[in-house]
Amino acid sequence: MIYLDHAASTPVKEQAREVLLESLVEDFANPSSAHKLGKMAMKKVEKARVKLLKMLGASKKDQLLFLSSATEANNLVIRGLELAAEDRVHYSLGDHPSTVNPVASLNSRLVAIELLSDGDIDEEKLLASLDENSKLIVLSHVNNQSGNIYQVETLAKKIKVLFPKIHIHVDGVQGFTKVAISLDGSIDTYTISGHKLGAPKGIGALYLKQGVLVEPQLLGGGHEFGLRSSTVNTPLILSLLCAVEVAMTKRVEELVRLKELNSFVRSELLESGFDISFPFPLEKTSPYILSFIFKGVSSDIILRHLEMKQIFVASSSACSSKAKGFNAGFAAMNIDDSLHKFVLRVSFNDSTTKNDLCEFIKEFKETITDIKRIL
Amino acid sequence: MYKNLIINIDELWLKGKNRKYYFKTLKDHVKIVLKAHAKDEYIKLRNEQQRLVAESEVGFTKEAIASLVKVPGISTVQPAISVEKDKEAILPAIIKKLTEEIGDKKHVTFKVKCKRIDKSFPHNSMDMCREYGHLLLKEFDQLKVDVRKPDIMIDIKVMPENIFISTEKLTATGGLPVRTSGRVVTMISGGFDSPVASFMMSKRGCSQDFIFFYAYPYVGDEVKDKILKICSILGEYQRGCRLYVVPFGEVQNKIAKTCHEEYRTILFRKFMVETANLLADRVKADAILTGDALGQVSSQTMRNLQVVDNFSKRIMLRPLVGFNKLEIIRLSEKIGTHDVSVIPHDDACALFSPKHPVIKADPKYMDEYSIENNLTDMLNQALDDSEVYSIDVLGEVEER
Repeated sequence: MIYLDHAASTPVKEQAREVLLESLVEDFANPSSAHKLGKMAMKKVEKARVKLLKMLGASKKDQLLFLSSATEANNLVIRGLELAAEDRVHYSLGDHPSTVNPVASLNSRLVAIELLSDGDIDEEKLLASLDENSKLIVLSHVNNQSGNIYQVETLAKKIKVLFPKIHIHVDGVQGFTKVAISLDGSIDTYTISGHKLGAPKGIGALYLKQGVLVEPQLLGGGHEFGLRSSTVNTPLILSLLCAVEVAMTKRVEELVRLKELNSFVRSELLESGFDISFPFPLEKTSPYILSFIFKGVSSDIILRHLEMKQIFVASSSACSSKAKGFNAGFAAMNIDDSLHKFVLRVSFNDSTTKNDLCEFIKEFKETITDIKRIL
Repeated sequence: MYKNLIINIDELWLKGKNRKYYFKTLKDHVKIVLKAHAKDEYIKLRNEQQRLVAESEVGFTKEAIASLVKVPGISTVQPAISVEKDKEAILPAIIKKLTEEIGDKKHVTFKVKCKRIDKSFPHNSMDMCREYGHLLLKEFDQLKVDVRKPDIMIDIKVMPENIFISTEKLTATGGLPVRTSGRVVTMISGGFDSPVASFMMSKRGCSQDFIFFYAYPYVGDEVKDKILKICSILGEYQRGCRLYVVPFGEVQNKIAKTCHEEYRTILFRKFMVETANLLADRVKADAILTGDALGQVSSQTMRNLQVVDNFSKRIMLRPLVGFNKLEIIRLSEKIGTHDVSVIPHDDACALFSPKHPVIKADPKYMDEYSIENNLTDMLNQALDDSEVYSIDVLGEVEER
């Protein structure tokens, strides 16, 4: 099996699985309990919190909440800021539905962030569009579809110079543990998802800069500083921490290795002689994600042919693969409507090898050749 | 909720000595449908001359009545109130019912209709109509008589054991009870036509097994989901049926690679019909049913229909052959498949479709190709590899 859909979900790292299993046995007590067992569990959770904050480059005084998913984290910020009708919210339609949809549900004035033809944010236009009423900017660290790395730290600094009170929220799901991030104060909130970095599903985290206030969306026992009631899930939290630690130790070398592999796939596909294009250049994107357009055969047909050969790729974001044809995200990335159904995405992790990719390229070419004979 | 349903039967008057058989077959079907809705409750079902009367202590839900209306062979369903066989009991029951129906409406027209199934009842129908009409006019200021097109038709039926009063007569599917006209294999697709064709033959009493040619990997799950939804709707006009999802992508790939391009579509059809016949052998069906309408697309020209027929061991039923597209779409709205059929989906035939499909296929080429490419083993294998679903009278689909 060759799995090239790590941006949708990636296998749980062995170490993270071991930590999870061990913790499931040992840390069964409720961390909120007053007895020793509970307190011991809470201590582990608090340690994990501090370590994760450190790996985010944040201060100890900042907050980190554990919650169930990135979707929950994004909702908590976007809806929990309780913006007024006259407030302006800036967001990109090219981003993940877990930010786009909560933003769309707001009663505020929505302003779309424009993207350039290479998928990058049109920074000039964004800065020019801000005004006193701008209250929230929602950005991705790395776009899940195009792979574009947005320079969120420098952008946030520029924005804060102009309008210090704007809340800047960054969805870091595809970025954290892969590309560098240092939350040193300009970014207000930052979302992490466990299952995109080698931890299990059902765990995410939200960084909140010191002093940031959000209205809780779940009420109950007042867990997680009163911002997210639900029994604290020690095993998942420890497993998340472990996966992050493992990834961070080799983050830089993986980045270099995958850049080479990504570049290799690009050049091999370009040389194949098929009508393939890469709308998002490698120098602007995370090497973990590679989207390309093969004109002629709908990407879901290719996806299914490849899955028959045990090769798994994505034809669009897994969350919205049911929607046919037009894709608002691609439209925001300036991809012509007629090409949306031809976009394929392959995404990698630290276990992806050159052999896997050679096999993928070989099977891809064979599939296309076979389909082209009859369609 | 109504506790009584009068179920009137269609076309029974056309039958002679086999009338009993039709009646029993329909009664069994009605029993299954009502039982499926009643869950644990015992439903009484009795014959009343040319009709069935169903009784429930709890009452029949709207859903149960809606299901019943779909059962082929039933002409109308009348939800009714039952009163004891006493003339004095009739008026209070009508007044109660009308009070509910009139509500706060200012003007309502009505008509009273009366029929004595039991002729020994001492008051004759005409007199009762006149009397109750008069009494109701006195009771309700809002009422006015209209014998031609009344808003409310009050139907009084004097039965041997009791009296039924009803104000509603729901038109049902009609036709013949399922299982009285043989078994067919229905070639189903995600479009408008084949579901309507299925309905047409359900109401002519055919029990059906559905066959869908699943062109994976050229099309994906969304097409299969659509077929499951359509068959779930069609299942309500059946008395338990099955759907065979036959993997066909490989077969289509082989045909597309080896035949003249303009013959692709018609050869697909030829091999589909052959596969449907193989399934018919297995399930002991007598005919193959399709949604063809003459001349609608290139594979449906007179010649091409004939050419495909040559490869069918069984009669090909095409109930829509003389229908216009809009007529078919209107029917699909009526039977409930329209909203599913209208969902866009990838169609493998369209995907593979040649630039210039043959309109008058050469039977000689079809024969030659078929001799050179005997795919019977491949088709049987595809049938063996089918996903099989069973669909019950409520349209519940379950993979077997």
